[in-house]
This record gives sequence, structure tokens and C-alpha cells, in this order.
Amino acid sequence: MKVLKRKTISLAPADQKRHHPSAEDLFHAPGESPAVYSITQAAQFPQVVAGTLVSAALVRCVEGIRDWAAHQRHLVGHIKVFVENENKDHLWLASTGKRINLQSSEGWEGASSANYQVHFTAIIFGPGQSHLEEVVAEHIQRELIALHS
Amino acid sequence: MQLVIFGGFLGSGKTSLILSLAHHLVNREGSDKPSLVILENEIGEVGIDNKVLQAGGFSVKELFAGCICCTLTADLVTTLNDLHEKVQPKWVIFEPTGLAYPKKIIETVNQYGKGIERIVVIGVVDAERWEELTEITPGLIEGQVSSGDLVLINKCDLVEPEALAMIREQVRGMNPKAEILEVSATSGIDTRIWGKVDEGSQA
Ligand SMILES: Nc1nc2c(ncn2[C@@H]2O[C@H](COP(=O)(O)OP(=O)(O)OP(=O)(O)O)[C@@H](O)[C@H]2O)c(=O)[nH]1
Ligand SMILES: [Mg+2]
Repeated sequence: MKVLKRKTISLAPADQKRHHPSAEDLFHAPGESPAVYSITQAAQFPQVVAGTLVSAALVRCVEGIRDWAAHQRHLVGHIKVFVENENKDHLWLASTGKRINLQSSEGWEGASSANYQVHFTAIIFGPGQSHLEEVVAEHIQRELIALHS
Repeated sequence: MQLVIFGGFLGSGKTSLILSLAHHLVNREGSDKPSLVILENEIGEVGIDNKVLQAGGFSVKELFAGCICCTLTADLVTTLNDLHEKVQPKWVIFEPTGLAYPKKIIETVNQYGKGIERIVVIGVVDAERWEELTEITPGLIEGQVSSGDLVLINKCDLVEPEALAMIREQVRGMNPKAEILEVSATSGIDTRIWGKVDEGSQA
């Protein structure tokens, strides 16, 4: 597995005068701006893996993050994932903290591949930035590594 | 160019609704010149929505804004003016972040945008999270609802009719002028609803 891009946004553009929006600016209510973890990751397996198994792994991953957020009483802004194989079969997965919605291209269910691109964004109100990164990265790694066997 | 702006909280269904509107517009316009461009401003370095929309076969441009609340301004105006000069699409659909106030966007576009004949603002409400969100972030939700020419109460498949009636009443209180419709993006949108966005564009 190779990490292609691992970046998170800052709330202010680096090249501009820093603007720290207060909770009041953003929400007109008590709270904080969200922590955001956003990553593109290549998932490469020694053998082909069925799209349905990748779906199930990512559902478990999103469930894990969702349940962690609920347990910590964090508000899920949005967790969303887009995965594609080299034939452009794809899966779109999203959750706002309750159920997890899946939509996929026609070919996804029947497809198998050894190479996937996983694009993952988690926007959550409450945790510190680095804590969110740790938790999300750990869930992604755990589920993708489990697909190796 | 006709500009359609979708305002609504994170996960309310903006992208799902844009997919539906884009299909409607492309089908209706036929296959002449590129008639539709979608502009995306997402939170997070990696765009998910642009991939979803591109997979749907649409032309998408990403706007990069470092600050979630200031969002865009410069980049949006530059992109719109560039589209006006080079592409001249009939329709531009813009999805700001779920934390943006559409009012600020409209002001900026009115002040600096070129070649925009009409702006339609669609407020998207997440019926499932209405109670929670109006409690946690009432100012933002009201800002997103009150700017809409049309307000779509989305995910109505997930709430009971009584709850829906209450949401409608509160939405009405925030925006007395707008047409308010209950929809479910994932169950399909009646083309008559998108006809409302369309109407006035033929003149
Ligand atoms: N049940 C149900 N789910 C819906 C409906 N509309 C959207 N969803 C789901 O809600 C999730 C979020 O939808 P999006 O369209 O990504 O929401 P968004 O407003 O674009 O989200 P951001 O761009 O992150 O702010 C997706 O998983 C959709 O499938 C609906 O009417 N009913
Ligand atoms: Mg979206």
C-alpha cells in the first residue's frame, strides 16, 4: 500500500493574511470549526479482491469512525469515500453519523481488481486535528490490510 | 450564463441533487455545445464530489479555497469570468461547502461576475438532521435556508409526515418568499421540480 497524498486543510490560506474564523463566524453558535482529514491512498493487493469485499471493508471503516465520534460526542459533519478500480468501476460511500449510504457504478458489484484508489474525507466537529488524523488513518489501514489475506 | 447555487449543510444532499439537475439539463438541452459546467468547492484537500459528478459524465471544475468560511470569492469570480470568456456554457451549477453562507456568494457574484444573466439559489435542508442542526448551528442553517429562491427539504424518505410538516413550518418562518418542496434525491426528483429552475431561462 502506498500513500500518494496525505494532506489536511488549514482554515486559512497559507499565503494570505491569516484569518481565524471564530465559532461565532462559522456557526453563530458555540462550537468549533471542524477537524478535517482528507487523503488519497492507493490500495494494492497481491491478489485480486472483489469490489464487494472492498465495499464491506470501507463500510466497517466508516462505521468504526462514526461510532468513535458518537462515543466521544463529536458531531459528524460528513464522512465520504470514493473508491475506483483501474476500469473506473467505482463506489461512493457516505455518512452523516447515522446510516451509511452506498452507491456504485453498474460494474462495481461484479468487478475484482488488485488495484484501487481510495479517496477519503472525514469532517468532524470536536476532535483535535491530529487526533482525527490518527483515528481515521488507523481505521483505514486496519480494514485495507485485512483484505490482503 | 445562468448560475444555480446550492446552499445547504454538510451532507444535506447538494451533490445528489446536482446530479439529478445536471441530468435533467443535459437531457433537455440535447448535445449541442458544452452547455453545463459544475463548480465544486469542497472541504478537504481531496475532492470526493467532483469524482462523483465526473463519474456521472459531467464537466466539473474544482475551486480551491483555503478558508472554509470566507470560501472562494476570488477563485469563484475568476473562474466564472473565465468560463464566460472561453466556454460560455448556458448553465453553471455551483456547490459551495456545507459551511458557506450563500448570501456572501451572491453578493460577490453580483458585484464582480461577468456575463451572468440570472442566479437561482436553491436551499437544501437535511430533513433527517433538522432538529439537531437547528439546535447546534441555527445561524448557519437559517442563513442557508433564507437565501433560497427555492428550498428543497431533502431526505423526506427518512422522516415521518408530522416531522416534515413541522420542518416545513419552520423553514417557512425563515424564508417567507421561497417555494418550499419536499424531495428525496435518492428516490428520484420529479422533472417538474427542475422545470422551476429552468423556467425563465428560455426568455
Ligand atoms: N435516504 C436519503 N439519502 C440521501 C438523500 N439525498 C442524499 N442522500 C445521501 O446523503 C449523503 C450525502 O449526500 P451528498 O449529496 O453528498 O450531500 P452534500 O450536501 O453534497 O454533502 P457535502 O458536499 O459534503 O456538504 C449521501 O450518502 C447520499 O446518498 C435522500 O433524499 N434520501
Ligand atoms: Mg457535496
